[in-house]
Amino acid sequence: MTAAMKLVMNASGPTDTELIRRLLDGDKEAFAELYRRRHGNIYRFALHMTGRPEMADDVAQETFMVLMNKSAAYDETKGAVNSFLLGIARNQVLSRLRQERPTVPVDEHYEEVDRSALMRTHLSSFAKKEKINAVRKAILSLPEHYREVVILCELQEVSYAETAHILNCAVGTVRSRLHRARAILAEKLEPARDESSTSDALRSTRCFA
Amino acid sequence: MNCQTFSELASDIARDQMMDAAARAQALAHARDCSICAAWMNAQQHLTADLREFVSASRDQTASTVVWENLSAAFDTRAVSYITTSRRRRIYAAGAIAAMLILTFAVVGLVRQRQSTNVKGSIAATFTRLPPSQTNSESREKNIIIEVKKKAQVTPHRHSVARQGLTLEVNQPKEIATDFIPLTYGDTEVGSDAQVVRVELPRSAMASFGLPVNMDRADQRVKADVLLGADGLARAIRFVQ
Repeated sequence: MTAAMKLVMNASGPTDTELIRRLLDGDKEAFAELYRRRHGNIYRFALHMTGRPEMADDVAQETFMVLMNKSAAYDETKGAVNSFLLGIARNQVLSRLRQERPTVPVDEHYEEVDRSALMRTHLSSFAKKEKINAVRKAILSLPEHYREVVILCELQEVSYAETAHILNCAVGTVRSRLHRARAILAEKLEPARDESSTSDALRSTRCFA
Repeated sequence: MNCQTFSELASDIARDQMMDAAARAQALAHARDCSICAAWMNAQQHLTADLREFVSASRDQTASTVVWENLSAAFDTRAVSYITTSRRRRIYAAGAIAAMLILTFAVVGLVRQRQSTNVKGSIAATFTRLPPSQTNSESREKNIIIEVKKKAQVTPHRHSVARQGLTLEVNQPKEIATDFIPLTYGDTEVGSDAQVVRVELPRSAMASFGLPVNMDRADQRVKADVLLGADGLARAIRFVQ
């Protein structure tokens, strides 16, 4: 190994697997580093799946609690640490959604939260925010098995193979679910896009008027 | 390429996924010819752009600081309980090892004590010490033979040992032994630490001690008891049948 390669490796720090090994020895710094690296992905996965920030917090916390107590269960030959954590988070999300489904419709919650914020934003960013909100709502309205594929493959940029490992299904199933989910999303977002382009057209008409 | 095949590839093209170059070229060519597929491709490309925008907008969303505070506290609690448990286990292990050592030393001490008592008894029963004035080895040999003949009965060795309390099996078949024959080398004086060791020798070895040997059975082995002094040297031997 050349000195340059060593330098690069040192600069990039220990791998997730090395951190897991250190965590097994009770190294809190390793746990903190793993949290720092991975908690964003886990939180966002939970947030996009549930649409509720407080539930996403709970899921992130519970996922890392599982990692803390059952890190010996991680097998590096079966996949990356990120996939391992996303698998745990998915189980947490699905069990919570099943428990709390009858109480809160998730997309309404987002609408309420964002509407007041949207009112205060500048007009130029309004359309962008509206589009983002539309995408968020469209994702949340997908059935769970499509939603999780979209979140993993599109938003988290996880490969088909890793997604298949996380969801415990075949790669072909991931591909077909993603294809179907994208079709549904495109259909849902089409009116919003038309509306947006109409408002753009109106704005430009107004400008020329 | 037909529309069905195109729709299967359109997502990957819109997502800029790695794919077969020829298939990609065919799909794009099909989209130029088919207006429905072109609209589909357009919608997919818009969707990809929307999703990417959504990703960049939500990139900064992270868990609240309370989550890490809770996890950190939980880790510390877990570490304390882990240390306590491991320390307790270490104490138990050390105690178990100490108990084992004490037990082992006690058993070894007891066995040694009993062995020395028995050897002393058997030696006392078999041999008497020669007076120090006698220095001639031949006369000492004679004396030993005389004493051995007087003391050592033609009784089974093991039985005599068993009577004296050694932990040997009692239900052994009866053995017949010759008298102890002093060996020509070494001192005939036997200390209190002397031991009798059971060995097997070729039957022909009996001839070297002046005993009759059936040459037909010369290749067979015969048992013998060797009397060892405290220095480990053989003092006397007897043959056992």
